[in-house]
Amino acid sequence: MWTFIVRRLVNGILVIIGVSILTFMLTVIIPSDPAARWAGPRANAEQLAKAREELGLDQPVLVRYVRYVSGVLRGDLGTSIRTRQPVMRDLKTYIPATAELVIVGMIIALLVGVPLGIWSALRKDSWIDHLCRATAVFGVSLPTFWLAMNLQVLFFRWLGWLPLGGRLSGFIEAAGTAPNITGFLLLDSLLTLNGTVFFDALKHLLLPAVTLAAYPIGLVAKQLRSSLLEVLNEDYVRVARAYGLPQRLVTYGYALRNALGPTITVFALCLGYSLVNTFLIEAVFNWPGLGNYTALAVTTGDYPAIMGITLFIAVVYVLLNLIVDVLIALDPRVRV
Amino acid sequence: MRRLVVGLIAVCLVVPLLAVGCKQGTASKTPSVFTMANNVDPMGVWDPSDAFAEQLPILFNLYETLLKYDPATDKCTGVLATDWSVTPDGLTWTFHLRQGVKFHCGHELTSADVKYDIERIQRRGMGAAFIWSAVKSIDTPDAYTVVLHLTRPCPMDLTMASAYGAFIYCSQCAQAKGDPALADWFNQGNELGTGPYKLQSWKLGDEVIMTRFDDYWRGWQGNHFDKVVMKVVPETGTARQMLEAGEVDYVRLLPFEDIEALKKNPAFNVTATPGFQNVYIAINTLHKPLDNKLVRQAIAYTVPYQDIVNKVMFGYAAQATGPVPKGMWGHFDDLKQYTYDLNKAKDLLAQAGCPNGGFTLVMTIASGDENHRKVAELWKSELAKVGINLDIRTMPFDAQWELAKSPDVSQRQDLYIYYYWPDVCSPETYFEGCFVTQKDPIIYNVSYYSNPEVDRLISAAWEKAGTDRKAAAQIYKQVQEKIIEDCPVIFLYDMEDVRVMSASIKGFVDNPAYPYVIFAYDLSREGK
Repeated sequence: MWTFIVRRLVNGILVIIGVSILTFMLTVIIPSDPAARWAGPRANAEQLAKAREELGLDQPVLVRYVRYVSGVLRGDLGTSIRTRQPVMRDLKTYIPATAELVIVGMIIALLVGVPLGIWSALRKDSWIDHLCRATAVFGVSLPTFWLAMNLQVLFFRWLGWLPLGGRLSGFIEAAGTAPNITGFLLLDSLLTLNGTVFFDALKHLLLPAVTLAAYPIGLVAKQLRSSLLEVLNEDYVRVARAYGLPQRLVTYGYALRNALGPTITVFALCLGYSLVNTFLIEAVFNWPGLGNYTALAVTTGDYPAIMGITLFIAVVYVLLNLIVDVLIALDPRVRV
Repeated sequence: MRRLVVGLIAVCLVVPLLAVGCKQGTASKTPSVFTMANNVDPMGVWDPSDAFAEQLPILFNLYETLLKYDPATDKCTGVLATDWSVTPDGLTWTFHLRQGVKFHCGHELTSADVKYDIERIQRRGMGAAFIWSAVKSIDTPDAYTVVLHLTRPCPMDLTMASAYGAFIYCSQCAQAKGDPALADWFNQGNELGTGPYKLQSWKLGDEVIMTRFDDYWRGWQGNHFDKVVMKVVPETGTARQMLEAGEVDYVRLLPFEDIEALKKNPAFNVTATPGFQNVYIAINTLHKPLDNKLVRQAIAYTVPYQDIVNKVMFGYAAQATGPVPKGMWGHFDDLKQYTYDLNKAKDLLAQAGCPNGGFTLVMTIASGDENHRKVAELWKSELAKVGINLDIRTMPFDAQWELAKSPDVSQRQDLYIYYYWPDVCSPETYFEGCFVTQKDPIIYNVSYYSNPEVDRLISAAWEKAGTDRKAAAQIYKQVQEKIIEDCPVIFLYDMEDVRVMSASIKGFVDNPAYPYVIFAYDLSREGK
């Protein structure tokens, strides 16, 4: 088991090194001079040279890469050219908002997708199955921005139940009473027993989280349905039933457990994907997360920020895959 | 297990409910808040010496300058200075400071602050530092008098009223931190201004909240807002919905289609004021056949100016007459104007030796700029009628900027469309930026135009501007006539500043010298 984990870990580290090299090389070949942006449009040759020195751009590419990697290992991702702040500090500002959205979205996806998949499988070809499958297909195929905007029209404009966007209402932000301990508003408001902020944050979170959950709901439901159907047709399930074991035990105790492996893999990939998918959702819901920061970093050629974001997403992907591999490997058949 | 889950859910629901009960009893008077929506995150560079981009709407509520310029009257009014004078030779300027002005940190404004701030921006050389290039030395004969000695005459009153690089901040606090720590401290979201509002909080990419500064020198007798909030809302559809729902009072930029729709709604005021931002198409005077003046003039006659103003800008612009926008001193309505005239274009092309066109021009436009894309598409079809093919290339703003400055001249684009607006509110900013001969560095002269006579006249006009603005304006007129004749740039249109604001907000007057700045202290909400 440990050998398996170590092997996967080494693979993951190699992937991250590969990503860091590729991203770094991209920033070297893009037709943009970060020093010119840093020094401003009226900088003369001397000021440009000074800016290049400050940004370390006067060094050979290899030296710059080694410096970058050693910085990363110390938790220093460089300084953003646009915000003039350490990229690590910027990421710490933005990640909690995005992470909160992704986590709540994924919880919704599991709470809806798993029961949908199970009902669909257990009542194959019934109207419930058709309904669940249709829901899953819609969830996967609806364009995110279309769903987001329609939810806004329905719940904000017509019904007036939920806010249009942002993380908090203006009156709370202006009053400056929102707690900031971890950056996760729901958690922070619970820790400080601030119900006003908690419910306000929850109301703001619902629409973007449901939009984000739509795609994973569809995938999880579809995957779980097909895996469960496959397992339910296995001989051992038939034997268990023949022995007269309760249906509930056979389905949830034996069949579901074995059907979950592929679903977990799909879910983990969804989680990674959602981290990027959230960028579009953040734009529509004006969610102050990584999305806007990334968009601005790309359009302004802020290469330290681009590298920091790419590295962060790569690390998340690798970690998620590692966790999934370990979870699945708990089944001894896989390790073999 | 199930009990545990149910228990956890119950705790999650009950605890906040209890907390609601505890917290709601402590409610106090609701502050009046003015909320703006900005499509880009303006903040990043908070250092008032370095800021040279989108930060103005925030910084002008936190900081003040010695003077403020009103283009309508072509007069400066005192803000932190009460009066000022210049010697007849235009080389010495004396400013008397307002007494009893406090910084947000509690220190009082003195001449030492002005001296330190100008010297620091000169030392750093960042942002708009160039506006102080004529300042040789600064004397502070007493605590409220600042004397600037210049190397050459220039209108220092306009410089003191500049939208960029003229903010005054507390030198005592600044010196205590010292550079480079000071710049880092500013950029972490700190300020040292005298403005009506002080910074309450800043969340990168999300919002800036400013709260009233109780010791502000103009006092708080009127119905001023207690707080000013700037929210970053990149998606214009969301911004419009927020405006309609009353979540924001003002949106900085909306598509013209939205503006037209909101105009019909009495809940909003749409104001359109002639602004100082104009759009140029720079023609690469180093590339063949554009190095021929006749070819440049010919393509200037192929531009469908009125179609662009009406169809692209929805009428919120006017065809430009020369480089200086209408409303600014130095602008002349009677300058020659190129018009849409394909026959003239064909004649000029024939005179230039290419009667049927027969060449391709590469034009770059910044990705995401729909207006410029539409301009290019409209123009392409007109150029085709005289046998010229327009190759439109969309690329990120920075990439096209780099291309325009490429050391390999052959790589540079033939045509480059861009916005231009002033720093110091003077024609100089247009001429010195875009038409003076530039080699290293190329600033904004991306047509690579070079005319020694024009260079000389531009310099002469600027020196005159401090003491005799009328005479300076006449020299600028000569400069413009020469530039229009040489045609290194097509002067496309002068934009109007279109603002959409809730009708309940009173007191808003747009000042094109300070682009996108809302002086929140001047505003109030009707009925409050």
